[in-house]
Amino acid sequence: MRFRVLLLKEVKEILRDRRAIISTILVPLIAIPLIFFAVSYFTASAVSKIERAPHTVALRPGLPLPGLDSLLSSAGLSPFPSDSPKKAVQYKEADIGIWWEKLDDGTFAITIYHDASDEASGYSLAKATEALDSLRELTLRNNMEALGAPAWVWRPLSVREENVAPPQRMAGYIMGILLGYLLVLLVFTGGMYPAMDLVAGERERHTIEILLSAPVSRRVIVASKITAVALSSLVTGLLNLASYGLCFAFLGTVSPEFASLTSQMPLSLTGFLALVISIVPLALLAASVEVALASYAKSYREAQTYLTPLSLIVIFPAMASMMPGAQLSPLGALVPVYSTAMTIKGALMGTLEAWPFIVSLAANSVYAAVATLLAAKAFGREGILKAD
Amino acid sequence: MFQAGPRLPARGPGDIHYNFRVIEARGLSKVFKDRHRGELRAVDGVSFVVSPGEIVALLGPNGAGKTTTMRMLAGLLAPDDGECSLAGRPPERARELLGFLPADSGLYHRLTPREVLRIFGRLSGLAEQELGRRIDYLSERVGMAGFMDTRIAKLSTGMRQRVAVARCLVHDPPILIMDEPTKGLDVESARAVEDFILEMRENGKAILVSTHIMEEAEFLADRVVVITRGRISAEGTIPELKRMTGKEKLREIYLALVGGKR
Repeated sequence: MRFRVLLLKEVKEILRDRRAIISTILVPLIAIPLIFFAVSYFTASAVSKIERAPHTVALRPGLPLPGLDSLLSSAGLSPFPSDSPKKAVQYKEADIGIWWEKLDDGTFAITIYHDASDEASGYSLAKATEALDSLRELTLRNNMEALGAPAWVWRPLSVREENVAPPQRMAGYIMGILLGYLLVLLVFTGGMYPAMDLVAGERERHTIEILLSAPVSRRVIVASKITAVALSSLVTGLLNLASYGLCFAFLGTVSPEFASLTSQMPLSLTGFLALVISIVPLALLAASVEVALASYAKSYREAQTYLTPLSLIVIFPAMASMMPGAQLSPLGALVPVYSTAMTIKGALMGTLEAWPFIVSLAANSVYAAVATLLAAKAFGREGILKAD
Repeated sequence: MFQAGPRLPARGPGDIHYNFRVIEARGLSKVFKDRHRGELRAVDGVSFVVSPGEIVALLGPNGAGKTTTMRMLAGLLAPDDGECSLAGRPPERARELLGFLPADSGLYHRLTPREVLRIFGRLSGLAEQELGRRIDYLSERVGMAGFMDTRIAKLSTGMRQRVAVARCLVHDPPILIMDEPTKGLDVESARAVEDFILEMRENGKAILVSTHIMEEAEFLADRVVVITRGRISAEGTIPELKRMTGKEKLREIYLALVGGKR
């Protein structure tokens, strides 16, 4: 009963705190999708702008190998004759320059001048390299055919790439890498401001004394605070998940390729439940650590100093989940944060296995329980009465 | 829930014949350890009692140990030596009997007075119906009716102090410990709070108030306990203190008791 009264009080305070609302609700619901869309939009528009713009090539005239002009043109480049292609690039008269010279053995050495600091130049370089590869193949073929050599002599093998990952796994992989990382980070940051406010803020505003003198044990007080902070973390995580869902649904309506990718996501109901369940102990762990740290701060500002490094510490295990080839081993399942990020990734890729998941869940629950005890101890100190 | 005791007749300062110790401090001591200043003995062997229907004022300059003594009595700090009890129980087991008003009493600025009273009433175990009656009574009696549903952040200092007083009385406790209850208030608001404290005494409550204002101690208290540098330097009624110091003016008595010079 008393726990419920205090929990409602804490939740009411969070909901009326502008800073907590921004970090818990607005950031995952609006800021993250906004950043996602803004980055996608600006990247797409920048690429499209580069592709649509005319790209010029300063080309030393007179190359006795036929076909280069037409190959460059069909790659979307506009060659023009120049006696000094290098200077043309340096003075921005052309995106790239092509210089050739005939060597003593009868071959041609070709140099492409480009500006690595210019995206248009980089784009033109890639296109020109493809065109020159084609020219080399065309010339070789013409020469060999003139000599009467069969195709197996001048083209003994052909290479073809094929992605064997099912489209489902690809979709899950792309989403899993991104979501596993962001979700665990947001679960930590989502509870940060409420923890500062409900603990250090309570000391700073001198309300801690009236709370501690009420007929309720400190354990119940700290439990209500941890629960309120954990709820904020969970809400942040789930809103983030929902906002991503909405983002992908929207992108699916404007991009058929994206729609086919997301429609084949392997996320099952079981996987989704595993994902949500894995966040719960992480939220409790985050809330307990944050409440414990905030208990040592006499003011909101001091709490910021203590809690900000926490978000930086969490980044490392979260990033480890993004490493290529990372898989949730039984040992890795014991590492907090990392194991949750990997569980989320596994759930989205459809590769989550039962044992590592159970080990991770149990380990994170134990860590959360230990952190809760530490928070209760930190909150039980007499020093908690001191304020700035 | 504890019911307020029978109304006792208002007493004069000399009437101190009590037989029931509701608030009791016996040889209370508290030492704080400071990294820079070393050990600081904030309270050193303080003993006194407060009976039902009595107001005792802890009088002393800033830093004398009044707040630390009150915090030990409220169960917020554990004494390093000595004992204290509320109605015969250790303070941490008598919280439902206590209304504690800390100095610089903070309030939840994002909540309204009604919400604060509800929360603390429920924490004290009041039934909803009884809580509703208490809130209505206090809202009327303390003069909060006009701002019961306004967020505390928007209230004036005087209004907030009324809410703070009502908050510590919401469960109608028989014991009140009030640390500088009129601090920061204008004369009118301070008098309203003082009148209310006197009314609580008439309702039989045992009241311990701290102050460093001699006039307030004289107006409110049946007895005064003077604390200086953590120790009790004098105890008695105002007439007794006058006799003890040989001074007539309140300020002179105070300075003589706390060791100040004119």
